[in-house]
Amino acid sequence: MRLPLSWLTSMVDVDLPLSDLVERLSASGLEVEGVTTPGGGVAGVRTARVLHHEPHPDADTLRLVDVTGPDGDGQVRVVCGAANFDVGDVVLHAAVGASIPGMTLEARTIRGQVSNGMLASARELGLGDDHTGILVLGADVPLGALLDELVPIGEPVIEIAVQPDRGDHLSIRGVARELAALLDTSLRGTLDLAARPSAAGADVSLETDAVGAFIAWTLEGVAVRRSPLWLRTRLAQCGVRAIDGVVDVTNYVMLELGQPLHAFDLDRVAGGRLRVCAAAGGEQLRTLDGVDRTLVADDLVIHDAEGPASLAGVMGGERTEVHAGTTRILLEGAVWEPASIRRTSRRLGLVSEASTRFERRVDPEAAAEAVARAAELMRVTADARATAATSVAGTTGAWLARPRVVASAGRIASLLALDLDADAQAGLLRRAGCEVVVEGGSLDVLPPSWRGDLERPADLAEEVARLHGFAHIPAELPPLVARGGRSPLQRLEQSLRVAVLAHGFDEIVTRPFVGTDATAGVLPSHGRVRLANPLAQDAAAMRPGLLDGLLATLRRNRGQGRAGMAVMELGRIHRPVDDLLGSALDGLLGEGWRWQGPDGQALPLQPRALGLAAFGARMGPGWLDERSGWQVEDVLAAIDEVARRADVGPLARRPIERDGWHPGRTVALLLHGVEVGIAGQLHPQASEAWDLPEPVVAGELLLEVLLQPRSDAAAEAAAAPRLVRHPAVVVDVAVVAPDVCSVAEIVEVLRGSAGALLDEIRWFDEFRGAQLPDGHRSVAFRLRLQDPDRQLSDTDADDVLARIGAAVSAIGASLRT
Amino acid sequence: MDASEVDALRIAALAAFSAATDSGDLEQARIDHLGRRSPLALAQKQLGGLTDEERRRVGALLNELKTAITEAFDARHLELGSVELSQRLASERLDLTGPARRIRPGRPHLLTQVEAEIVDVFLGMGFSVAEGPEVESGRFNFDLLNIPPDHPARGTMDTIYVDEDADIVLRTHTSPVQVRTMLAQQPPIAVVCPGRVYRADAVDATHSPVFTQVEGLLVAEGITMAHLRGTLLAFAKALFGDDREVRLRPSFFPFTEPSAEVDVSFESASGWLEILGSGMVDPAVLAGCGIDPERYSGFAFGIGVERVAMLRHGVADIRDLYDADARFLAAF
Repeated sequence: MRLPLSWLTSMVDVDLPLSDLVERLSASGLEVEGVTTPGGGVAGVRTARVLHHEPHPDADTLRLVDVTGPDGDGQVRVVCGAANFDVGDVVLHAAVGASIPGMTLEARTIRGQVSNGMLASARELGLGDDHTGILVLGADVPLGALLDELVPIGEPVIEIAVQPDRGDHLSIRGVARELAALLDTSLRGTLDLAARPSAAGADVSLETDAVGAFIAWTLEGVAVRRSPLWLRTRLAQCGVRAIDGVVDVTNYVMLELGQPLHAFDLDRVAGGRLRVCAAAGGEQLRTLDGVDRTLVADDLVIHDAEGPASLAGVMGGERTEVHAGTTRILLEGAVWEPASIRRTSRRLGLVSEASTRFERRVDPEAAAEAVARAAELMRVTADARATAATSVAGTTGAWLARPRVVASAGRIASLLALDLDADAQAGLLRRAGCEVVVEGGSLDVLPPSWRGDLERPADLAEEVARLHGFAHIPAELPPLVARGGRSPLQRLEQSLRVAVLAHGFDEIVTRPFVGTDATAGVLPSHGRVRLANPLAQDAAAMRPGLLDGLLATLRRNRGQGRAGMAVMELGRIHRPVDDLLGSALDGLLGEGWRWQGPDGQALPLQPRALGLAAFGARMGPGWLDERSGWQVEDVLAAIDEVARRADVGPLARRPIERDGWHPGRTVALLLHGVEVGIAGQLHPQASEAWDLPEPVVAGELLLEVLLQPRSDAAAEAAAAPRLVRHPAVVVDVAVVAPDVCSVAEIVEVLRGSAGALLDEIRWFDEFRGAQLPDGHRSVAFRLRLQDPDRQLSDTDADDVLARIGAAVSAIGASLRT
Repeated sequence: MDASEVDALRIAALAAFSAATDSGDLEQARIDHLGRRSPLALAQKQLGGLTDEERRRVGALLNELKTAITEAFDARHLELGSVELSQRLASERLDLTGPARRIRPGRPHLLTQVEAEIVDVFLGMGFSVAEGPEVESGRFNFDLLNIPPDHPARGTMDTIYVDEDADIVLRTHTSPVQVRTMLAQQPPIAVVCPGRVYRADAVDATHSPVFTQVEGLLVAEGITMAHLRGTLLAFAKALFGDDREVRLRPSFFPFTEPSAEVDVSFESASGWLEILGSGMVDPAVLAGCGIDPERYSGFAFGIGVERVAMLRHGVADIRDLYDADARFLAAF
């Protein structure tokens, strides 16, 4: 809402500098979005009469014009590009030396003709957008008058944001009332109103509960013409386009009083009577913006004998629009139910100045005054005579009710932590226009008709605090009401993130949307949580996994010339309720990990997950190591550490083949035999599709399985190991095994056969060569043997070697000596 | 063996030690002159065949000789050792001014860091952390927060829907987590709710369809607006510095009454920057969640993590937070 300063102060005394006024409005919930000065910089622009004009001898589109000089007589020659004026018209002349916004005028020669300044358009003066011709004024304007003395052009215009519950701020008078309450003063001045004609006006029937009052005056003798300068100036300052002396007045009064009005050309209202009702559905109505709209059963319409004539509270119809030849008007002011207007406006995507106000509720008692005000102004701007009036009281529905509110002053004071007794609170509320009865410590409040937002004690508390000033509310820390802190599982989640970071992966945050395709990760499926109103086709669904965001990040950075990168993301992934991922996790976790709506209905699956991806060379600040690129082992190492920290790891691995992944370099990660993760290298074709050099390595882990409460012992605090002090015996063994034996299998055999003395076992080398049979490799392990109670001897080591020798032969392998 | 022979042995040994230029040569000289087959050792072995008088005389000479040679060896050994150590150290010089080429640990994302910092402020005041789903029921995201079905915020211009008929949305704030918390437990309640939230905003320099919030909720007996102000003042000081002030401005949110925008003092044109929205929990919200508004009161607030991060670190474009340029990641 834009507030020209002089308009505002015509209704309330504001004894504050502009900056203080702005501060005061903002501090009171009327947030000032800006202060502008439309037409600022206009100086020396005077009214002048056109005395003569003729075509420019050397330019078809220009005219040579003689106008009166600064004293209202004399003769000054200008060259003008507009043609919307004639001899006798009063126009605005910016003479040599005068200024308009952005320029000071000098005598110029245009195609050989000297122009002494210019004739100005509305846009050139900051008085609106109209640049189709120069501004032509009414004949009643004195000649030689300075424009900035005729109208308050260039004055400050304050623009405020209006809160959704404060529709009363959508008018000059509403804000003036607010200021009067804030500054503890009262409104001043009175409005000129037309007397209500006694004759009965148009026949109006109300057939809906969504209208609270319907006022319709008949105005006759109307002469539609341009509005006077002062009115056009006001509209321009408020950002409303001037049209004619009828429509402009309806807009002016709406800005002034907050009540939207509509003028029908009464001679175009078929049958001369109106019916207000809900649309049947399917009717067509061409609105004032020239758009044909199909109505639905819920829309409120004003019908005449031919059908819909106006979309109530939103926009009038073109068929009954006021036009240049209009002589009789039906001036309507009505009070519509906010919810109904909101529905129609939203459905049609049609937001008008009127719908904006009705949606936020207009003062139900101001409609008659607004119509009388507009009739008075149209008398001036369009010679209109009010001849008849209709006033129909509408529903008394709950949306119109203005209940008394009873509140405890003590509770309000303690909620606000303000030392205000009942009388002090009553005083504040009375400033806002409330009628207040104080009974003991209780306030009995009747809010004014224009305040729909004061319905409950909490609303009164806010009003008391607002008028007293939020700045007076003290700052105090609340008493400690609970034992706070992160839960063990929340701490674990943080620790898992740190574990991955420690492996060299940078954390990223990506937008969790995907298009139709998504890279297959852990437990892939075609199920998608699709969006009903996606912002883009490549963001049509929630991500079913984390890999696409990670790989897109690698691609973007690669495009920036980066030789390598390792990234991780920790976030929720999304699958439909019946996705196979759900049953897999149910098997591990029960159903407690699933989210439900209010009545137990299942929401889409949204488990937390960890994703990792890397390509290219390792690097750090100031260095690049091209010999040591990111490998699958890096992904596995990070995931192993995550699993260890969560006390479930390392997770078992099983080679798998999956779309988009290298068939020989990819494993599923298993928890109790269930796939909960994947790690590997991307398929060469996938790397190419992502514009990334091979190898691209990646992994994904369903973190949710590690972050749910577990009943098993692993959830307990880790026990400290007993540190054996007797010396250890170290034995290296090389196991020659056929390729079908995995390292995991060999380790398992070694571990199972080495006996109780085995303290740890470490892989340290792997070898293939001519000395070994085809399809075999030699894998070397270092075994550390220790006994808590005695020192070991060579015999002990020999025993262990004998046992594992026998055990590996059972899987087709042998010890190499 | 007479004195001149002993002297010759001594001179020969000393000459050999002096001639040795490295510890290998010196060791060979030691073996030659002090070893088991050295002339000295052989002479000592032959002492047994001499008369008592001769044995005493020659024995004394040989002992003197051995002492002299040993001392000479030790001196030369020390000398050579010191030279060699210096040479070795000189040859082992490393240029440690270059970069340390080992695994560089990754960094947590700026949003993670700022979120944790914000949450930690409230944990220190006794709050816990509550979490909830991102795909949420409209009843939790809207209805129970006093946002009726025809409210503009529920339109598809503002809210991203998964299913309009079933009223399943991408949560537009983390307030539904507050609702879930209140439905699950009676006061006292003190939780912060961090997480991603969604709005139907196209991506540009200042808008993102996904962003991060930390909301807070405190409900107990006797909670006042002064507690709200005190809590948020403590937050502002922790995040932006001890010299900060906060200013509350009346505002409107469906789920709080009174409602307040909170500004933090800043070196800006007006001296203030809007940081978050807050208010006293609307009695209708408490009642809807099964909490008696006659007995309990509370406050709630919502902090935009992106906004705090951008203000504090001078991030000009919100897309930088989501586009993960390595140079950006390395900066925090």
